[in-house]
Amino acid sequence: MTTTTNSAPAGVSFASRRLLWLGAISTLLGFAILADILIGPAFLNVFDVLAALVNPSGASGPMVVTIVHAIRLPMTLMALIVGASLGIAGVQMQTILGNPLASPYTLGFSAAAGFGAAITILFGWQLPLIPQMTVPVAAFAAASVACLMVYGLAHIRGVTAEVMVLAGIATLFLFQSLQSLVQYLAAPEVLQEIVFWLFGSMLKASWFSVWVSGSVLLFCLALLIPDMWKLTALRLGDERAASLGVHVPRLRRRVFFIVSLLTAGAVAFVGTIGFVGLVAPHLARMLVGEDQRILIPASAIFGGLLMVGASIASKLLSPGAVVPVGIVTALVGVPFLFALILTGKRRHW
Amino acid sequence: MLGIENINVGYDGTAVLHAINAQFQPGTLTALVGPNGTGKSSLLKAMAGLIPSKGAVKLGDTPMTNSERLKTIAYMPQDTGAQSSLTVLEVVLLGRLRSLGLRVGDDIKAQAVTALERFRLQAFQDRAIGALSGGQRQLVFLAQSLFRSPDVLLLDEPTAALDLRHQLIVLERIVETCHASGMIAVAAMHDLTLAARFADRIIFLHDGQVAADGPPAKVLTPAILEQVYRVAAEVQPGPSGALHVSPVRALDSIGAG
Repeated sequence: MTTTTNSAPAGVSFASRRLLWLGAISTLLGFAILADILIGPAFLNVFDVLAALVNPSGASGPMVVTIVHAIRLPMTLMALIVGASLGIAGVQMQTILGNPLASPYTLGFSAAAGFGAAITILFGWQLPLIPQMTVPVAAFAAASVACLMVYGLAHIRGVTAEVMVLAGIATLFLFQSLQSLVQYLAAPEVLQEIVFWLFGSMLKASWFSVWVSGSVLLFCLALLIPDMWKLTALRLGDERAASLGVHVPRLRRRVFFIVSLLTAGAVAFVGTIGFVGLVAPHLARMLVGEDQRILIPASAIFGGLLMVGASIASKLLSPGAVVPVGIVTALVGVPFLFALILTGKRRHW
Repeated sequence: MLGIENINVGYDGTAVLHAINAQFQPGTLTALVGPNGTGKSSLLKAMAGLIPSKGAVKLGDTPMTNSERLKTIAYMPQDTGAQSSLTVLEVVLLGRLRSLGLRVGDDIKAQAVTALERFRLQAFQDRAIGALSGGQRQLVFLAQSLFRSPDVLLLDEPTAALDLRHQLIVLERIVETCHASGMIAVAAMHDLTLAARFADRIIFLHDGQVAADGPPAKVLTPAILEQVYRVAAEVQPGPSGALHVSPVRALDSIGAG
């Protein structure tokens, strides 16, 4: 065993390095946000957009101000919030299930949300007073049902990672089948609407959705903060975490509900978004390690970066139009994942 | 003093431990030995409050609740963490999980580094725990357990899969800490010669019951080894003065009862 001594203060180099990484990806995210606001199918002048951002009552013209403030800003902020939510949901899913392939998709929440939206569109249901909220509410409700199904099974058989993964996969297949059934039964024009929702698109974003999804994100983050060290301990295995004083089933149950809420809050308004919840945590873990105090913000930033990057790509792929972002996330995410598999250290995933 | 009274443990309706009673004095290391599957790990986990059990665990005369046990008793399971990229310093810090906040103060970090220095591991503080050898990992987890400054330390086969040097280092540090701080240590072990050399007392478990309990010189006899392990063995003083156990032959073939 090497026994060289190290006179450096405790953890300085590693702590500094990961803070630098956090700063670097935050800066990158800042640029991506700006680029996403500047780019759009309306081909607005960059300086007009900047002027509308900085001084809405200035000389950019009402059309530019309206496009920037009513369309582009909510879309960009929604991409950021959805990405951050899915990044955090993904990293927590991988932590509590001890499974590198886990993501908000794994337990069928996204599939259930898709089914809830699809069946509402199929039957043309509308909520009284707030008809525009029908689809998001149905998606949220269906995701909650999926959450209760997985939890119910886990509650009966024991809140272990293995039981939750199995119950989640069963739930995923159930809601995917129900989604397919709804699509099979739908008339062509209704089917088009369902498919558009399932693709996931930032065009559905509004200031209201930004407010709701953003509140859910902040609420869940506040719930996670007291458990950050316990979640870090979980990475050493259930038994060792328990020996350190962590009530593992209680922690797993609590975080499971937080992940459900985060996922439902993210996908209810914009539709199914894949890959972000799987890839963002891995990228974050490779750069900043597994201390959840840094890993959670890094996963949120990477999630936001992937979503905003996908939003930019969705506008550039077909000039004058916006391709649904749900299609693009995989296109952006797959190269990241391949690079991770080819270059990453096995330990990180 | 730590006392266990009538500890009973069962899995799926099958009793694993039957009415175990023992007292453990401060500043001592007790070796828990016995054949595989005889309930050593279960007893340690039951004492730590990690699995359901019947009976009482007392510190002094006061029975301890499960949450009190989790605070007072440190339990060190067998080697884990091989897949983790947590740094060595983070692993040690987790020993005081309950007192860690969003910001970890320089003083607590310095104490964690001091805990690593006892095992000459300070140079590895920024290395991933999963990148270390099994022996180094075990030392890091021992540093983590001692960083908690526990009244009681329970160790499940702390020298399993370690090379000779690491076996000695691990047990020497445990004994040092017992003597220096009055910590009570109880270790499940398979190596009887190591147990004889380092433990103040040996408890033999057999079929979920205590078969023998006492100082090594008293209980480490060919007759007890035959009764508990079904082996013929020689027990002689070794070069260090401690007893040396040499198994000669198994008395029954496997499965013959």
